[in-house]
Amino acid sequence: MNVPTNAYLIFSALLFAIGMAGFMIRRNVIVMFMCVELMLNAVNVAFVTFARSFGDVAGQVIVFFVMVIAAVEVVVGLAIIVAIYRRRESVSADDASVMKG
Amino acid sequence: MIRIINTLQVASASLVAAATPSAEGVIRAPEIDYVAIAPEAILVLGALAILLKKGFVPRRYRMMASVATGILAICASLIATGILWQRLADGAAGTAVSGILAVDGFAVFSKVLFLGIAAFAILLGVPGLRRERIMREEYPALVVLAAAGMMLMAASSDLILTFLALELFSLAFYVLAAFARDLPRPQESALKYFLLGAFASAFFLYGVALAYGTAGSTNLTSIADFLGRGSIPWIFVASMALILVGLGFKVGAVPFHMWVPDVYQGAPSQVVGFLASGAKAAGVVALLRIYVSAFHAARPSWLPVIAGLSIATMAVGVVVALVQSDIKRLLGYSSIAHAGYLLIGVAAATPAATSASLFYLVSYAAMIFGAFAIVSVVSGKGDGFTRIDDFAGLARRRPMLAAAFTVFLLGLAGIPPTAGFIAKFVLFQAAVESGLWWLVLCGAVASVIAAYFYLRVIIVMFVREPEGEDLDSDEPDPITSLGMGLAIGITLVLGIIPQALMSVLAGADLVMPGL
Repeated sequence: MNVPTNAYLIFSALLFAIGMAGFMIRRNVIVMFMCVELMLNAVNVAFVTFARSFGDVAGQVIVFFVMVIAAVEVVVGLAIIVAIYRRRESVSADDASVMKG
Repeated sequence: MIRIINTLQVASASLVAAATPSAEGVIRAPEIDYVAIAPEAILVLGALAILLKKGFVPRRYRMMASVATGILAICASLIATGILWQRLADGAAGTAVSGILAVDGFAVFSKVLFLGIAAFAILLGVPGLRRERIMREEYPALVVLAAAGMMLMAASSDLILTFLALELFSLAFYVLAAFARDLPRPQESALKYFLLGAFASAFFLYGVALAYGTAGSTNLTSIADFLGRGSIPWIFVASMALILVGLGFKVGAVPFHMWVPDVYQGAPSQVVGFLASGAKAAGVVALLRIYVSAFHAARPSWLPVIAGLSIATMAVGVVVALVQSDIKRLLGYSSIAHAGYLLIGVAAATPAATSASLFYLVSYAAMIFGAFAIVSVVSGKGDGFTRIDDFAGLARRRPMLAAAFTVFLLGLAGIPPTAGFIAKFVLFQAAVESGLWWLVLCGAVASVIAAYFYLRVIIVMFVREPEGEDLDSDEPDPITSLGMGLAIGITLVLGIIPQALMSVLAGADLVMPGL
């Protein structure tokens, strides 16, 4: 079966949009964070698609960089989320509202 | 163990062989220009040394060793930057390391600026954090890592390197914002900064992917060539918009400014000065590098967007700052307004506007560092007293602090004889020369409104009687005083004899590839 390049790009754009919508709708901090990871992986799909259609390795190498960055973000993000959970036993973004104005 | 490594080597070799298009199967390693990467490499090595020394240095010397290593790394990196500058003076501007690292006057000057910002972060941050008893050994490591990331933002000539640099300094800032991790406000500000920051970098990365898809490369020189060839596909316009979202978030431009007041209010004052000057400067230099040089041929498409962002940013920053009652939030909204002024420099897109923006960043960094140093002293333990009312009668309690704060606030307002006035003047002048008089008009109106809320704080300090409660604010320690003195010196010297820096900015060749 031959899948056209555009189908992959539309798939990537859809994944990105789902991640974006999820980030804005969901209130659980961990789910919001997962949505960001989804967006990063959507970009990876786009990079691989372009690299494949150009016959260029650079795009595939970039994906490795993005994966490392995503992993590092998990480390820092979960550390912050755990510190907050220890204090108030909740990971809802609505509870993080001490500051307003 | 050895067998695993062998298997890995075979596997990676076959992977590379499969991926390399060349028929010979020989991989040519890129030529690495070690002098060009030395300033950042030294900083990263310094940070690693700080993190690894735990096993070697006795416990009681660890803190001192961290700070000393941090200072040493910054000094060594400054020397390396000086060598690079010398090489530039011999006329060797260009790109290094397979064209991903630009070596030009813009990059080298920005590196000096970021090293200065890092030096201030250690000078003012270490005593401040010690006072709060939240100083950790990792602080100098985070500062130098952030500095390395910001320096790469200025020098990067490839969008992927820009993304990595963006993440490098952002991750350091997320951790710094969470430094007082047991208090509710710093926790909340770190969470907001982190989540929104990660969200914004995903947009930046999607923009990079689309640029790669249309231009066939992430290299800025190749992209400039691609744009110079003629029509701009709509996907590339989308890519420019997405990259702008990512960088707009870092500089705190409206509508991506939601995190700024919360982070400025919640994070410890000692690190907010670093964050305010560093993150904003890094975002602005990347905007200049990407939009003004590489995307210059597409200026008709991005000019209305950036000009619109600039107007919205100035308007929201200035108007909302009028009603703030917390000094850190006020400075947060004022920094949003300053992001708006800086976007005028990006929109103008001329060499004169670029050097004016750099001048603005230098003076802004000195003023905002000084202002937050004073806030951290006056607000006392745990940033307890940050209402503007807490500054009432400061002129009577601590006359020197009140006088210093007045200098910084006048500088931020852009009133002569401070650097803030000259910075705004040269920036607006450059923008008028490139025909953006309507944008400058908006900037001038915003500056007039902004003067009101800065002067209000000064009046509260000098005229209002102190409130009954006695604040436990101490006299600043000698090192903090030295840092404040330096910041005042820069603010006044650049305001009175701006030629000192102007001549450096003109002498350093600020022409970027593509211009």
